[in-house]
Amino acid sequence: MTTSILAKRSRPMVRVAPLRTICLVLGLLMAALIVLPIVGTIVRTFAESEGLSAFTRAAELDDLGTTLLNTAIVVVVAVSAATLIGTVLAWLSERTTARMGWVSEITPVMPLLVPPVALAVGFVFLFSPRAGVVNVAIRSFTRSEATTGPFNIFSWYGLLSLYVIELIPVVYLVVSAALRSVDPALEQASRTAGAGLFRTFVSVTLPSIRPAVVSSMFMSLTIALTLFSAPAIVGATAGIDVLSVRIVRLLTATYPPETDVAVVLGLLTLICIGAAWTVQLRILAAQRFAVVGGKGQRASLIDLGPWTVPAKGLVLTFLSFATVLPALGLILVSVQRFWSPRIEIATLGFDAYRRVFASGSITREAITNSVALGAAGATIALMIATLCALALRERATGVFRAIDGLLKLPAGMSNIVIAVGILVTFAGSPFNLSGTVAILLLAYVIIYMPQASIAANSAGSLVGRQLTEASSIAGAAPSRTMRRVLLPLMVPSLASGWTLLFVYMAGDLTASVLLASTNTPTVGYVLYEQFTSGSYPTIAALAVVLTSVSSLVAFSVLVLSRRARTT
Amino acid sequence: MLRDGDVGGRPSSETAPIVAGRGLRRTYRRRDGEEVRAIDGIDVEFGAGEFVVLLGPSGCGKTTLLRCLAGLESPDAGAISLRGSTVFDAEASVDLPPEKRRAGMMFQSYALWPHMTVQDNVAYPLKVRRAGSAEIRARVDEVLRLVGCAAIAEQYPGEISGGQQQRVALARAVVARDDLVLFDEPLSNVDAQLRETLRTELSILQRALGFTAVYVTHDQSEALALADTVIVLNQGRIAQIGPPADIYRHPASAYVARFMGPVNEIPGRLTRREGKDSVTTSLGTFDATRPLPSDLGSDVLLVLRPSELSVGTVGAAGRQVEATIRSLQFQGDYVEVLVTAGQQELLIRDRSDQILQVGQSVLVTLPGVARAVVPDDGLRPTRLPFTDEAA
Repeated sequence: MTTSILAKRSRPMVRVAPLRTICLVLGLLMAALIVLPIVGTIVRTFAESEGLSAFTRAAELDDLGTTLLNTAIVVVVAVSAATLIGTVLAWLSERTTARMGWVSEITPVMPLLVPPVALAVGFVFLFSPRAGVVNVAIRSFTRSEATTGPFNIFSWYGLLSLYVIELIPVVYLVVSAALRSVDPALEQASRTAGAGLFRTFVSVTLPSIRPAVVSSMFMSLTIALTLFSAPAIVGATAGIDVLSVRIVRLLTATYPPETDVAVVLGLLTLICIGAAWTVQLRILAAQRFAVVGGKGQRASLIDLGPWTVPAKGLVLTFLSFATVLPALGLILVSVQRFWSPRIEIATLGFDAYRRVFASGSITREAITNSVALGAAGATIALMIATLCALALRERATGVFRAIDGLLKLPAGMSNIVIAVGILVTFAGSPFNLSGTVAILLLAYVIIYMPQASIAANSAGSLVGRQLTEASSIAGAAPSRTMRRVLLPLMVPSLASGWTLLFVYMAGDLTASVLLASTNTPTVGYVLYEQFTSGSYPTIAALAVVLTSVSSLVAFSVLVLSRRARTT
Repeated sequence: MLRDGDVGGRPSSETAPIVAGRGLRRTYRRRDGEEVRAIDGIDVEFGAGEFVVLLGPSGCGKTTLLRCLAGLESPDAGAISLRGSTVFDAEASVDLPPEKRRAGMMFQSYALWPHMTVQDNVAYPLKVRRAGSAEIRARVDEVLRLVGCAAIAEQYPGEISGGQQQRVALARAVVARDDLVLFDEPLSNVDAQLRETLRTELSILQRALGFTAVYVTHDQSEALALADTVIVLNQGRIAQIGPPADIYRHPASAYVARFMGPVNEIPGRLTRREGKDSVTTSLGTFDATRPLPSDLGSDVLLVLRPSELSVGTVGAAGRQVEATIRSLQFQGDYVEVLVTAGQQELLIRDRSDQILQVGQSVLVTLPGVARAVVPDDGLRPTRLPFTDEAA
């Protein structure tokens, strides 16, 4: 009669043993893959370069001081500007009458659809001093006699604008989420106490979302230190070198590659990020933050009155600069025979696309590779992250918290440093993965694991604990509960997480530029490699194809998952 | 089993209790390292068809106890047996997971699965227990009709009202016809009127199906209305256990008395008069209706419910004291009158239609005997915070 099973008192250990085992194995594997290359590379650098010679040679690099100064200027200016603009945009869209229905819903995602490398190329086509589409339009509109200007993308302000546009979505995403969870009564109490709009924003709204603002600042700082597309494509011509470009150049533009010097520069990046991280922790620890309610109720929107229209204009301006304009620039150049200031309707055509898709061409291979890598990488990363999220949900013990933190570790490091670590560790013997698709896949999965982990965790946390408990009570075994209740409810969030990962991976440049080759090209790699030598319409067409694929996948997945969700 | 009619009623003594727990203890460690004893040495035994309500304020351990019975949490010590077989024993390292305990449960949040229709939600417990599809359909139909939700079977939880969600959650909890159904504050999310309707329905359903119900609530009126047995919990321990009327009329402690509704606590001393226990207070001496457990001469509180008192000479069977009216609150069926008689505050539910005014001097009629006497715990809750002129 007594059907009791012998079990330890901490029951979940027994109930989900397979899941926990899988998670442990995967977690240890990921730990090894994330930590070992970097640690190994650093150790090797010290060991093989006889003491500190790598450091000496790094210090003797030409113009290292200028590079560091440039990097500092770019990071400080771009991060401050992006934090300010991103926070204001988020507040306008979330809290005020500048909110524009579905436009505000998709605002944070839109810029992601134009991958950084495509954005940079698009901006070159728009604002190149001589033939930039916008410049030409302005000159002909003002009947100017000049042959260049008025704008020049190959300049400090051009480079900084690109950085800012890349960073704003990061801030926007984090801050708007925080704003949604702040109890609107906090603001209303301030308004009824007699404080005006601005005062309320500064003394109530901002303090209550300060943790989000600070952490989004930290995130954008990490990204700014690592960003490669804008400085590689715009900064090089403008003569502005930053750290990330120097690292890549040491590895790809010199022979033999000066790996150890590159590692030293990478270490420098890590130290900067570490310092910023410490500052962030200190800021967050020193503050007492307002109680944030989790009601998620739609706040009554703050009426901006006559400022509503300009505010909406600001949001739309950002959207058009981050997505619409560069996409238009790319399309316009892609249908021309060659990139020229004058657009002759008669000569427009799709030759460039034909060349892109020509059989045996490197562009075609790049597209195939990027799409396949994006799909495979997103699936693998999300599966690992989901398994670990499920294990963490079942039992949040130290081991699983540690694994969870580990999965997010790459976000706190430079993508380039990770890619260098993977290159050094896996390219040569015994793995010999150099020039294979496998090394790219490995790099993508590791670099974008934090995003996968965040998506999986939030997907899991959206499913209330009682929903799974109700299934257990009904008599369902844990595996059945997972299959029938937990996973189906996680699907919509997992789908959007997958989309995000696909878009990141298919449009990746940072890892590709180090790990791809002419044998295993990716779209990012080809765009970067051919930008200085290739035909502009072909480059534009390739960027358009990349953007279209990303957008198409994103929208179809979102539509499908929305249809699947029945409530 | 539904057609078998009433199998419920009082617990029978021959069979094993449906639920038996002994020495249950569950300790949490808070983030700051402090230990919180959610339940602290609890022994319970529930019979077949018994409706047990676990009552107490938030943090008293009632939900923890319920979740331990369900298998959603594991106690640190003690043993639980269901239907005579052990499902948990800390010493023997026995801990059956929830899916093996054959109990229904209704959650505070209802926990209806949003990706399944009402029908699929209710059918789920039958499906996982591998019932035949014809049987599943018949039983789902039957139980949905029983809770008045047959018409919405095809709809999703997101498309139905809160009251309907509640009924569906109830249907899902009872559809497998387990002899034990657990309720975790299932009525706390609906408005007062609907709550009373659902309470009645639940009571009828429980009698009809005859399962043992363990029901967690912080609402004493809900507990009084539903329970065969009320268990009042205080800081993880059982403060009192018994039928609702006993707990209401003869609270074992000031804590229980206060939790069961507004009370007048009149401090006094246990005395003996003509061989009977009695309580001597500033308002006079009251004979106890039953022997009191406290020692002679000890400090006690005489507990008087506001409805036991009246203003004026109406029905002047007891004794009367002079008092001054401090506040009046019209409540519809009665007027809540707060008076002071000397130093003593008294709350009265006056059901007469007499005209009263604040500041008026009145005679208050007290009952002649002391029905509820509890040990004095030293707390003196006051209703009049601004009593300078009354002092």
